[in-house]
Amino acid sequence: MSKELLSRLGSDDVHDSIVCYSSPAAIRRLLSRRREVIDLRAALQNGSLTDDELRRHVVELMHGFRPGQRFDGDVELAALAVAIERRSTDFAEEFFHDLASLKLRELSMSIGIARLILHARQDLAKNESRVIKLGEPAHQSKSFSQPNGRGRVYAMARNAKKFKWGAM
Amino acid sequence: MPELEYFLVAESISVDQETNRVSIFNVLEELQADSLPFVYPSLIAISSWNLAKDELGGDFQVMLRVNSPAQESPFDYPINLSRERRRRHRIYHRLIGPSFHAFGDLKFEVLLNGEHRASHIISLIQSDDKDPQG
Amino acid sequence: MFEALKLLGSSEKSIALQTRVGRDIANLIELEPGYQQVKAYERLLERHGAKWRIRKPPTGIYNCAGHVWASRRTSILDPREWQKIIADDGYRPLGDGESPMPDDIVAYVDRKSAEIIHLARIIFLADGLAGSKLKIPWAASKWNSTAGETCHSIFDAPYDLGDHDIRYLTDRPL
Repeated sequence: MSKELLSRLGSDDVHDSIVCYSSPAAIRRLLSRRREVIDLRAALQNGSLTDDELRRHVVELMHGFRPGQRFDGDVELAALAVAIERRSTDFAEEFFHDLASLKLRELSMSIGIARLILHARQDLAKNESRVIKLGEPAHQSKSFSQPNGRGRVYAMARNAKKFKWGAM
Repeated sequence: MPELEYFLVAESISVDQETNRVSIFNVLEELQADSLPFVYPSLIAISSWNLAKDELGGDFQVMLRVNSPAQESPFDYPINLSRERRRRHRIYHRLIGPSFHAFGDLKFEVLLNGEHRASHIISLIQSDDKDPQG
Repeated sequence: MFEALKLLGSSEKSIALQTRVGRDIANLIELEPGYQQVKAYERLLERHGAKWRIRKPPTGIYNCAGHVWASRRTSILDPREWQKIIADDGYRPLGDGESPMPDDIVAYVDRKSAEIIHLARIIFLADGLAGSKLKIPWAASKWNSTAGETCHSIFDAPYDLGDHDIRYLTDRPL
């Protein structure tokens, strides 16, 4: 079921819906109204499709990449980007950062859309956490005046990344 | 400087992965204990910060400061805002198994780059004494 | 993710392109269409192109804006760059009572977002219905950066005219 949902993103119908549009903004708008994208979002929401399955699918899709040739999976990747554009998971963060940072005209459509979405995700609240266990050494406060940009906090922030979102 | 939208201490939270909406459960204002020391399973301090455009990607540190009546000096738990260009940052400090050694007010403070921004007080009272102040 | 692709570095190619007042225009020389794009374009012709005149088969390099403003040398993908060109190069919308002429630009505008989604150059004015003095503008379109070039009546475009407006831009003085 999930494989079918994912493969529909690259269907002829999806390709046909954007064939006479060239701006990433217009293509993003069109893709967001597609049934295939809406169904994928619903599957992610109800848990019948997981981030791990998305990740595996992307890895498999990218096997078709050939330098110097238009990537056949460009539209599918763009549609996936639109489907997860508001998703606040580690996978989504990594997906958008990594895709938007590429400079490859072989997949210019999905990269253009990823960059747009990354900019729009500025409005998406960033969740950052720190877990403090009983007995863990903490700073015993003296007067605190300067921001501490690096150091110990980053060790704790890395621990916090292991946190699973959901009920805490 | 980033603006604080809200600061609360609660029992638990949940973040919806699809919508990124946060739900806060059981805001803590008063805890009752029969005796001391009193160990609470976990609590979470949530602060939400809004950044202006020119602050995106800046270096800011949020500090949770816990003042307990039994402690001479408070405890500080810093966390740096991620440098990602996001307008809103939610910071969660989850304290697992905090133990309290005196009745009275537990004051949770949130500071930004060392400056006090807000407080949240949880009163720890003895079970058969509703109003320790008389 | 995309680790292997990161190692490839950059394959993006662009040219030096500026507006009349010297503002840089971001552009990208697109690759030739692949199998999927060619097939999608063939299906487009089947669905919409009965009355179109085909000028060129599917080709890469340029999109509609690159066709109109960069002599087919490159693609200009961002509508914000299109607005830069419109502002700096002296374009204006046609006034009331003004009729389009060859070499004016037809813009298809999404009504909801007010964004231009396609541009084409008007190439001639065809006779209208018998007895009518109104001429019908025909345009040369490159639908996107993998499509071919076709000549068509401006009213015979693959956009729902219920959701889109047709507007004209000209550099002719008032």
